[in-house]
This record gives sequence, structure tokens and C-alpha cells, in this order.
Amino acid sequence: MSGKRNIGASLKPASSLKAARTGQPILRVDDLVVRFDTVEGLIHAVNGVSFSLQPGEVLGVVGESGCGKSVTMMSLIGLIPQPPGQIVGGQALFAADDGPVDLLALDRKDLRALRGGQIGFIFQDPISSLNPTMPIGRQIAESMVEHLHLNESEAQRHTIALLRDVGIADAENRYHSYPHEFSGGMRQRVMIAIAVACQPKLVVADEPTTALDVTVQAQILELVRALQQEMGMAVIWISHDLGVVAGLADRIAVMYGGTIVESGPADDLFERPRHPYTAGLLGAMPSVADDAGAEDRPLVSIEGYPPDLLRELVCCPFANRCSYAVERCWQERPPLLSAGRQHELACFVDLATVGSSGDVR
Amino acid sequence: MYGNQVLIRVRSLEKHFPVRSGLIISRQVGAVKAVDGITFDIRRGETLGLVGESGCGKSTAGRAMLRLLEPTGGQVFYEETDVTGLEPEALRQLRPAMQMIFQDSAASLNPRHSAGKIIGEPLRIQGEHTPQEVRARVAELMELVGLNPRWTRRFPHEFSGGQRQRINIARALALNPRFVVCDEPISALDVSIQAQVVNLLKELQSRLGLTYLFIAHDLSMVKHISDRVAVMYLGKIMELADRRTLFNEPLHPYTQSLISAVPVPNPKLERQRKRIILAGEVPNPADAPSGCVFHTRCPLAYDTCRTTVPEFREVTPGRFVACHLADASGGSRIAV
Repeated sequence: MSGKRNIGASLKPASSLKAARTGQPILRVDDLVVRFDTVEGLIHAVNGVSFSLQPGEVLGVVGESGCGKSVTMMSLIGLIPQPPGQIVGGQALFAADDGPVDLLALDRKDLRALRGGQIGFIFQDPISSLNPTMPIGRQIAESMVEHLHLNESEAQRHTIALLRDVGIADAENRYHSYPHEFSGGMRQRVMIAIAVACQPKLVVADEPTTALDVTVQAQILELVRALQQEMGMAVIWISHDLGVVAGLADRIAVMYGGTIVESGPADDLFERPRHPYTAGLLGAMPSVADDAGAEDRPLVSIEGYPPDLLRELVCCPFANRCSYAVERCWQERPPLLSAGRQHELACFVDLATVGSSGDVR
Repeated sequence: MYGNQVLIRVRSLEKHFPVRSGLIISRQVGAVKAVDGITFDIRRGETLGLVGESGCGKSTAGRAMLRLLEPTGGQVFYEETDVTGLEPEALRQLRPAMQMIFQDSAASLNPRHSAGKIIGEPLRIQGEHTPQEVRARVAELMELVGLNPRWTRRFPHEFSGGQRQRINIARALALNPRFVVCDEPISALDVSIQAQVVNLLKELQSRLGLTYLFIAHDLSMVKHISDRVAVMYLGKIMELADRRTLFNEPLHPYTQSLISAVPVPNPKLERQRKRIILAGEVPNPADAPSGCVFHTRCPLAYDTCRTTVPEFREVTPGRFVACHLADASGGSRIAV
């Protein structure tokens, strides 16, 4: 692997603090900046995103459309088209089997060697990610041949076992079926089988249940929970649905305007949101578990609309919709800083110091 | 119950789409029973939520009720008028009272018409207003739905998704309707914008005394906005009750599984919740199962369910269930 740089040594000083506290992360992203050059102008899609992920950890990334959650994760695995996309800056250190590599600096060939091998991914729309002209079994076996260097018959045997594991009945025969012969939920199971086929250390899942009905979504979530516990891979789960990540993630990162505005352990973040946007998002979402009082209250509505990403972010992206905004929020961008136990916050206000955190507006 | 307080009565409403086959001589070989005999009332000023998974027929039901699709059977009454039997001219007379808000705000607004033209169009079609009156009413409507009245000359693409849905709502309200079918009005919107639109719909309802049929697949939102909720599956209503009863003590096994499958934005609660995971997916509506349409996925199904269609009956006052096992003592409860 010629394009791979061994930057483990140069990394140590910067990461020693974090490593001492939480162990060596499997992925560490620093100050990722991604832009898209479009006819309308330069879109500032991702504006300095930093986070790290521990081995076996499930990180839920939530945010509304256009917040940069998908672009962030897709640029990590080299799946944004360049041009129009440009990765302007940043570093993404992945603890690969043979030492740490910067995913953003890898050439295509090396990245392809990681993708589908040590890094698996699941997309929202399985029908457009599966090859319609190839039986699904071969699509799964292919990656085992490629990455695990199995021979054809071993790969087939493993694939059939894997299809059974992801809940596809009659796996021997279904091995030879084409994607169109499967229902939406079954296709997503096939996608999951491909993602985990080579026992990846990291799986990136981009809204994998959004297109599914709720009873099928429950099946898929159950499957992913079981697989994750069994195989112990780290997962980045992108979703706009706070409910979905609540039951899945150890830690949550909330994105807005191409930045992470808050991240923290799931329980903590849901119970005591500290960024006004997180609190607003939670208040805007009713729940089937709401009691009578909560049902009759109007939903928290965040007035206004998300920021125009054609403009460079010079202040807090949420300032124009935030009822707590102070003058400073308009003058500079709040950096993402540690705010207590594994909690990070990019806000000059911090709801923990304001009082009743659910009450935005 | 059928007195003055009921605005809409739906009786055994059916919408079957023929399935044809044959290249030269086309014959009907079957039917997709998108809506297959549904019966319910909507009371004045209430919101009836209609939920179900994709393909259950909920949108078709809404359209058939307004005769945007011609029903193939059954009746719909608006007050005492049988909507299904109306001649075109009489239907046109009734149209202002019954309006619809569509899901896809981009596709349901003409991209070449300005916001003002779109909102004023129903008034112009009715033809009873001077251009000045139309302009004044458009400004009033835009104000009502929280749009700046100065934006009348803007085109749909200049608005965000949430604002476009407000245009849709303003158009639906132009003729002072009594009854509005909201067909997934917020599904295409982001969470924070959904809340804005839902709050607006609720506010308009109490201000204008509107009656809603709120069609959605998002159970959390339906629970929030509805007074009563009907659950559909493969063209039939499985259960109907006031929202608290339905969500707290669902009787139909499908309702129970559906509610348990909805994720709750609360990690601690999510870990404790017992889920009923249904096997398989919704069967093909062109080849619906015999007997109870849910029997192929129901963990409690027994012989009768496979052969006999369960009657949609009132188990306790105000609470309707189509399940052979359902009774007040909880015979249809799935143990988890």
C-alpha cells in the first residue's frame, strides 16, 4: 500500500490527552471542511467537523436535511463526487489493521481496499446500491473474495451462513436471487450482509431505515443491534430521527449548518440537552410515549429556517433562530469545547447554566 | 351519535383498482382492493387521524372521500348530502366545503404560477369575486398561515419546503372549507419545520372551527394532533378509538405491534420497552390474504382468522376493532 502514510508517530502528541482518558480511538476526525462548487456558488457543506469514535462504539449522528451529516460521513469513505465536491481541509485518522491512516489522504486504490473490507457501509436506498444484474449472493461473496482472499466455494458457504444470520429464510436458494426479487426490508438485510461480510471494524450507515415502514424498521434495528453486539464493530449511524438513534447509539452528535453543535452520551444528551438547537429538536418531536399533558401542549417550534450555506459561517449557525442568542453569537463562531463528562458543546450560552432546558423560545 | 355533531359519515367505502391482463383482448383478472369497505364518522371540529404503513390505502381513502378518485362502492355523507351520488355540478357546489392539503408541496404547486396566483385560484374558479377582492383575500390568507403578504409575486421555488406547505394550506383554506383532508402534510418536512406546520394546523383548526382527516404514517405525530385515530392495514380499518385509549390499550394485535415498533426519543425508555417484532412485510394488496388480512403476520392467528373476515365492531362504546379475539377483557393482547 504505497499511498498509505504512517502518521501514527506524528499523531501522538496531539492525541495523548484523549487517549489517556478513553483509549485509542478507531477513528479521529479533525477539522473536516467540505465545499461544493455549484453554479449558484460555493456551498459550505461541512465547516470544521471534529469527532472521535472508540472501537465498538455506536455514534448516532442526527440533524435535519442539509446539516452536513451525510456529506461528512461520505467524504470520510471517499464517496462524494470530486468535483463538484472538494475536501478543503482536515484529517481523518482510521486505525487500520496495519497502522493508522488518514482516510482523506489515501488514493482511490487504497481507499477501495478499506471500503467493504475494514469499513462497511449501508445506504438509505438499497435498490440503487445493489447491482441489479448480479445475484445477491455473488455480490456478497465478491467482497469476501476480494478482501478476505477466500476462494469461490468458501465465500459461497460463508455468504449463505451470513444470509441466514441477517434473517433471510431459504438462504441457499435466495443466494441466486436478484435484488428485484426481494422486498425493501429484505434488500436492506442484503445491504447489511454486504456491510458486515468482512467483519469490518467500522460500519457507516446513512439513514438505512428511512425508506422502510415502521414495523420493518423495527426488524432492521433489532438485527443491527444484535449484529453489533455480536461482532463488536464501531457504527456511525446517520439519521434525522431522534427516536431511531435513541435506542441504538451510545453517543449522539447533533449537527447543524455543517458543524457539530453538541455531542455526548445518549442518555445525558436526551435528558439534559445543553445546546438550544438540541433542546428545540427534542421539543419539536412528539413521542408515542407522551403522557396526556405533553400531548396537549403545542410542539416546540423553532422559528425561521436553516442557514444559507452559500455564505461562509462567521457566527453561530443557529443564532438567527435561537431565542438565547447574545451579541457574541453574531460576532464569532462558538468552538466545540469539552463541557463535562464526554460532553462537547459549541454554544456561548449553555442551557445548563440557563435553567429549564426544554423551553426554547 | 349520528346527530348534529357528526360532519362526515363514511359507510362501507370501497375503491378497487382493476388489474387487467391480455395483450389483444384485455380482461380484468383481479383487483387491488386499495380501500375495501371502511366505515367511520368524523365529528365536527375534531381531527381524525388515519394511520398505516405504505400501501395500506390511507391516501386512497382520503381521495375517494372527496371524490378526487371515484369510489367503486359505499357512501360518503357530508352532513346529510350523499357525496358519492352527486352529479358533477352539485359536486362542484359542494367542493368549497371540502378541501385537501397534499404531501408534496413542490409537486402540488404550479411552478409557473406565483404564490398569489396559486392561493387566489380557487376564488377565481368560483368566479364570485372581483380582482380586488381576490387580492385582499390572498393577503389575508397569507397572513393567516404566517407568510409575508408582500411575497405574492414570488414563485414556489423561491420558498422553502415549510413555506410551500403554508401556501398549500392557504390555498386549501381560500374558500372557507369546513372539512380538510390533510394527506401526509408534514412527511416531506424536517422535524423543526414539521412542528411549525402542525402547530399552525392546530391553531387554524381552533380559530376557524375546521374538521380534519389527518392522514400520516408517523404515529407520534398522529397521536399528537388527533382526537381519535383509525389504523388501516391492507385496505381495511383494524381499529378505531380515541387516541388515548388506542395508544394506551391497543386491542388489535396490529395496532399493538405498530405502536411498539415506533422508536421513542428517550434512550432509557427505549431500552426498557418491549417490542413486538412482526415477521415479514405487508403482503401484496393485489393478492391480499383470505379471512383477516393481518393473519399472515399475526402472532395470535388461529383457524378462524384464515377463513373468516372479522367484523369491524364496537367492542366498548366508541371503540371499534376488527379482530375475532378482541374483547373488553383483553383476549387479543399479545404477551411480550
